[in-house]
Amino acid sequence: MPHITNVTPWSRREFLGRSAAAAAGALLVPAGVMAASEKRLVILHTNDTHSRMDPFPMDGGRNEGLAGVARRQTLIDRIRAEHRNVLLLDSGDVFQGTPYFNVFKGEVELKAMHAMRYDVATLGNHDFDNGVDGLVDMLHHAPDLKWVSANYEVAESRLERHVEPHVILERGGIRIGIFGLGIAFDGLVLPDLHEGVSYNDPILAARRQADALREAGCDLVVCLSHLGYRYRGEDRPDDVSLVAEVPGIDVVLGGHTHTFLDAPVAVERPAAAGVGADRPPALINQVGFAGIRLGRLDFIFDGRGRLTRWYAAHYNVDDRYA
Amino acid sequence: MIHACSRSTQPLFRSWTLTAASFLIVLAGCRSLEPAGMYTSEGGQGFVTVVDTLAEDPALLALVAPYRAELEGEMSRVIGRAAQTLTKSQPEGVLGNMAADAMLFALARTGAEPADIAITNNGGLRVPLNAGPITIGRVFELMPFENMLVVLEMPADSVVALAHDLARAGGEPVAGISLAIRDAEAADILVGGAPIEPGRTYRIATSDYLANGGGNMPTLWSDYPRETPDLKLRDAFIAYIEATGTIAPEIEGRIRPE
Repeated sequence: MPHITNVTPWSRREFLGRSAAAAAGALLVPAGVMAASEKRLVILHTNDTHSRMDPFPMDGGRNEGLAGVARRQTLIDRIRAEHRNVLLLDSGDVFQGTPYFNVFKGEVELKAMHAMRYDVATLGNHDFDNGVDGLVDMLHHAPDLKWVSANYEVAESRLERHVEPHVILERGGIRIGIFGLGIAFDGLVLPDLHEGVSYNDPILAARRQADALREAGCDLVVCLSHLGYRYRGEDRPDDVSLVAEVPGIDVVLGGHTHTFLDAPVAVERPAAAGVGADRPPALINQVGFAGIRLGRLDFIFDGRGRLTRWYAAHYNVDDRYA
Repeated sequence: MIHACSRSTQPLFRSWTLTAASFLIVLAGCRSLEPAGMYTSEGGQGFVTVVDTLAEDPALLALVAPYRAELEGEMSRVIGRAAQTLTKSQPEGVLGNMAADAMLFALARTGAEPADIAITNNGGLRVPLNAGPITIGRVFELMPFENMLVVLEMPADSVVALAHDLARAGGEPVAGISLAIRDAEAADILVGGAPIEPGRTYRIATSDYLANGGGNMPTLWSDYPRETPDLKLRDAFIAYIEATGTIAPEIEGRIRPE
């Protein structure tokens, strides 16, 4: 394990302080500063949506009124209308959490993902809650959705025909390699429920995937991870140790820990690693749970398809978007 | 374990603020979702909150609507009544007694060999059952988790240890076992009304959560022969309430202070 001394999200305090500077005009630069040869890729993502089809009820709870697939669709459509190169990804635990799952077994969740045109997802532990058969029997409701997992060995199960270690997608000439990582089943998924599917070391799997995707000419390597953001003081893989140990990954879209990051976490790649030394720091993002947030990261590529920078969107949705 | 690498005094990972921040953006009062105003040297959040002022997409609403309607029908179905409001309590509560009784009942109804003892945890019972009609939806609120019932084959001395766990925990929902708490230890332990027989094995029905390391009864965490009938705790509760009609559990001294 590398010793991790500092992993820094942009804190809200820092944000506010800098916003004040921005308001003074000191740091303003013209909008949309992109050279004509540059290309933008917009990645939208969710994790741990947990069968939350409807908004949280107005019951005084912390999340009342938030989330809901119909609103998420409005947001996604709006962004797609403004950008050509958009990916929509999910980091697992689509299933479980409301009676929609208990009664309809995942049909509504997957039909909604199909309607929203999700591109790729990875498997969370709760996606096995009705067993491998219970999962596979639902997948036809989202026929275009691709599932990736590089460390779940699925060859001995019915998932074999539905899950690939990675996929390579192209958007506007940008090649994006996307692989998935799942969490250890122990204590989370009963043996009967993942019968035929076994767990392999995610770090080793990630190294292989990052190398393979680079060799395949990918301009961006994305990991959909259901490992969890960070386990302090525990010797188990998480998203922070993942990017530290696998410098070939450009962005980890995480899940499982339901972490509401104030901002994406940027992790500088180990200088000695060679791979990625000429690239911006790796990013980790995770957007809580239940579809309360839609994650958005924009990646800018130069004319040769080289990733030069990224930025994290910040805007509030208000009634102007109704 | 020996680490080959030494601790670096240089932070290995740093905020990328200085180099990258000039490309980061903030919306400066523009009307588009696209932050087309001014980009500032600022870290953005990387997400948009899905708030209630966003319009709901009609097609998605229409997709979900029939399921929601069916769910509302299913969830509002009355499966029984509570004679009085059932709440959880320590060392013993009527809601917990109902839950543990339901586990024994529903296990036996699967055709499995009955269990001697059922144990669950108060933490898994999320809301009271109010006096009057009980709907399916209320049982979902009571037990939102998908915990499965498991049966552990436990030797007699482990059952004694488990009784001490229960006493130390201050009492959790049980059926089939009774004990008194004396100085945080179990006393007068009876299973099925009889003292524990050394050398015998006992069948303990509990949740996969408690058997897999959750909760505060470590005796459940050891590696016992285990059966996993395909039975969710929630479904056990529903089956029991439906079969019983009006549930009226009482405090029976299952776990009592001495």
